[in-house]
Amino acid sequence: MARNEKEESIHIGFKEAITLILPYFRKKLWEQTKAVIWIVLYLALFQLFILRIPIKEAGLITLGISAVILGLAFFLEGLFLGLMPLGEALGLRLPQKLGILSIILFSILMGVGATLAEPAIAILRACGSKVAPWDAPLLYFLLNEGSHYLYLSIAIGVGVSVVFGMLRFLFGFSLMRILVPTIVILLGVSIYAYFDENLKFISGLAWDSGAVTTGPVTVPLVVALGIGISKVAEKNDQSSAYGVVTLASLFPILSVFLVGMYFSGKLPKPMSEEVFFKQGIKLEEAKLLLGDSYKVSSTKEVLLPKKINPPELFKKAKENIFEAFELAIRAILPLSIFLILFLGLILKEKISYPEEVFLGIGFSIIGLSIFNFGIIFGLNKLGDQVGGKLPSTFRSIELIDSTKFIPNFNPKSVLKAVNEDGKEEKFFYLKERKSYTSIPYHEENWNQKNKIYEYVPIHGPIFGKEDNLLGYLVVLVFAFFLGYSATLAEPALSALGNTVEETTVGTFRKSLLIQSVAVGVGLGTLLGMLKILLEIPLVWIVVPIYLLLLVLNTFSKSEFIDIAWDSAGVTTGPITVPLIIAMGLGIGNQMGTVDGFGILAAASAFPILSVLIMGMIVENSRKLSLRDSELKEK
Amino acid sequence: MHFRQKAIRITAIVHRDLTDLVVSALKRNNIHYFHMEPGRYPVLAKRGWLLFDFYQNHSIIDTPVTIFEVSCEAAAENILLSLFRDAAELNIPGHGSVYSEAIEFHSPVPTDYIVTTEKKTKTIGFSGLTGIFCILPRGSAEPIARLILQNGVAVPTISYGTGTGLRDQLGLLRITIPKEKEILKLVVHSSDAEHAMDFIIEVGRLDLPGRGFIFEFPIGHGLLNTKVSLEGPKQAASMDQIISALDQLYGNMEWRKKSNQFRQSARHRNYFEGVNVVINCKEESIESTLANLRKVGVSSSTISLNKLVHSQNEKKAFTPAREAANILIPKKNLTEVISLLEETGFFGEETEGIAYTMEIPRAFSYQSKLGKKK
Repeated sequence: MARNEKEESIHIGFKEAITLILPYFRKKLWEQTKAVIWIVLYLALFQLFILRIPIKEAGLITLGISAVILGLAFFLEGLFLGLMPLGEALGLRLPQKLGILSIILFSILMGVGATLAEPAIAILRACGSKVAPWDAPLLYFLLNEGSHYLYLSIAIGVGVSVVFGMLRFLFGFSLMRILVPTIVILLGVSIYAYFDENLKFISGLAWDSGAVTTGPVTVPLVVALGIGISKVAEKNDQSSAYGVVTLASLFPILSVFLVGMYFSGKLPKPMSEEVFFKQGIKLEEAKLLLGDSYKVSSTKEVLLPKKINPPELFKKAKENIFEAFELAIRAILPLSIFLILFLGLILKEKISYPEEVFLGIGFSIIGLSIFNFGIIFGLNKLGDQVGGKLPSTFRSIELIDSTKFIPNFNPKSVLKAVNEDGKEEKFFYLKERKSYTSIPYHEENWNQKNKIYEYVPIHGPIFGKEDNLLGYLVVLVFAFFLGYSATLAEPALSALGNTVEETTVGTFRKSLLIQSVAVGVGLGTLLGMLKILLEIPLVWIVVPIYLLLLVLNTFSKSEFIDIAWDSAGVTTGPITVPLIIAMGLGIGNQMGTVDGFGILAAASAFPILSVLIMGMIVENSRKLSLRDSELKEK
Repeated sequence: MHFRQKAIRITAIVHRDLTDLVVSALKRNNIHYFHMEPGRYPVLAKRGWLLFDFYQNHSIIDTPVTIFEVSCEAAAENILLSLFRDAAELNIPGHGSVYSEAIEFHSPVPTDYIVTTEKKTKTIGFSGLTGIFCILPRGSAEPIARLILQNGVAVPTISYGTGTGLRDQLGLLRITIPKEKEILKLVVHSSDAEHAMDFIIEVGRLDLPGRGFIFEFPIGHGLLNTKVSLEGPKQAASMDQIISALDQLYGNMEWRKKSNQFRQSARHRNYFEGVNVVINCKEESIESTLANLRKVGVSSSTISLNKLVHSQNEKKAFTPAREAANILIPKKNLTEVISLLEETGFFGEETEGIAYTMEIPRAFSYQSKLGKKK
């Protein structure tokens, strides 16, 4: 081999450094562009060509989406350089140097810490403002006044599951031994909750919070830790480092249910709005439910968008950037400091390539900040726009964000028309460019002082009459492709895909995993959508699917079982969750459902199914390579 | 003190579904230490249906395999070879391969690490084989493997590794160069070796800088996998079966010579020779060892992960998670490298190191004009 006579450190000039860095960046950016482009194109084209509504703030959204791509590239690279090597080093050293009790303690701490850092949980809370306290007091409580109980119960659920996962690697028992009892208990609890007035409404939340917990920080870290431990565990011959993630998304479901049961007795039962205000609720209950402030906001606030002038926009953007940065630091910094200190002070190990690890942590923070910013300004906006207008395929909806103001409006131009019942209705003609459109006239929209008439354009139903079947069908197809293409961009799945490809030495390709998971998420989203449209209780969806999965498990190989169940926990991350929730809320508002939860739970159950089936197909071809020939078998 | 001991290394590549059978067979026969590494062997997929057949490019199906490595003294070679053959029924195409190489230990090893025996058995397997070891950037093994399979050269095995070398001297800029490598191993008839190597160099563009390197290593005896494709047989026996039957009939693989099928490369290649130093130690400690070795000019190496399994329940056993590095150096530098390893405490308890070497008659990599003059 090439042998240098003495050690040489190569000096690289600025120009050479650039020639190294540029292709590297181009490659990373291109990878992320390929991942994100489908969901963006899909949303944009759907809005433009099917809903036929122009995209608002297109410039800002484009900026946001470029931020998502740039952020993802940085974040994933940082993950591979920084957090994952740290996790794996810890996993390798823990069993060698510490006893089982210390490992348990460490696992709990890490699980809780990683979950509290996870940004996606905050999204659950955002949905809380949409719930009325009288419709579902328990749900309202957990999402608003008692949200810290919710967070903590989720975090402890994850912590306990990390412990179970690590013990599994150390003692080498199969995933099924924990999975089957857990699922049986979960299904039992869900069925019990279905018959309880108050608990009924949190089952969606419980299942969804299970799906949300496992995000881009927790997953790679926990998987890396598992890889480390399973390498040194002697009893684990066929080492498989997976299975923790699925536990981490099942245990929180249980812990949320438990917390719900605890508070269920202390809170009032669901009641109608009048009863809630008139007859009232006990003082203690009210204090618990509504907090000390004891303030109930008016039921419906119609928010009309104000014209935002540039300085205000700038200020808002600055606030958002700051917030995104803060979120990123809070997610990554405490966790990595904890890991580094643990490795250095307790295990007394040096970090190999420390500068690379620090660079990686820096990259993850930068990446996550840019990514968060991009999510707020790019994907969320686009998703909200499409999600809110989606019902226009089967209903006529008001386009609040394109409210028009007609100055110098003269009430004399208002005409009268007769409706089907023979009543008189007022309307006027508006000339826009060269066409005349008739617009219904409402007294309250006319501001006499300013002589300005405000009107909200009405859109749809696009496919035929109100509540037509084709419109619903379009919504379902939309849901499928939304789930599918959003999953392709999910960072935690990409990280898991890399690890799976690495540990299976390329026999289970990343692209294969991502594709089969994406199809599963698509199907799950479709079913979740159906749940909202037809108001099917979540239990009816969850129970049969999980029972089917348990049956399928017995036919699969443990390698695929572990990967399949893990990919389910991973699917619902920072890209899928807001988009799916935006869509669910958009439809839910039109249909008047109490809680829009449950789509995520469906969206994370189906990938297990699709990966298991994909595993069976792959397994079949592998068996062929072992057998002499097919014919001989026959 | 320089420790030396000649030995044989048995490498068995077994379909993953048969791994448990092999592990229990090894444990039953009191083989206390063996290394395991995951890998894959590609097989040509079935032809597509109807119109898809126009697209003649076969797709590849990756089959997971486990690569076993056991060291033994010369007398135990045949016993181990037949142990693997019987445990995994290697005479059936698709089950895997097993072969042996001569190695030399330069470090003390734990008791029982080298399998010894007093039983006498007759030789099994074919002789006259040569192994080819090739390191490529991630993703480039696939197209090469396809061509190898389509030309019926051999059934390659692919495993993952990481490379060190130029990138470690770059400082933080090293992150811009991917370190992930693929290791492609195949065993061919000795008379085909040069042409097969030439073929891979050509297809893999190994004559360009930074593409990897390739070397051949002598093999004692071997039984080779013949499953090339998943295509069902159109005759009473599949082609794979016919090949393996002919192998057994002739008692060798001479008849499989296909040198004349290879296109003779007109280019003159600058091959070099040396020894391959394999160092094996606790995971996460190989990086510092390699950094020390850079002081005596060893710059490039390929690291792969392998698990050391031992069936004894001894407390002072080696850690299972281990890393191995292949380092190719000129023969004259061997003593220098070994004594440096000794000085830096590589063989101590801290890293639990093992080092052995094998002769490499022919190796190739991109060499700069300057390097050639040296």
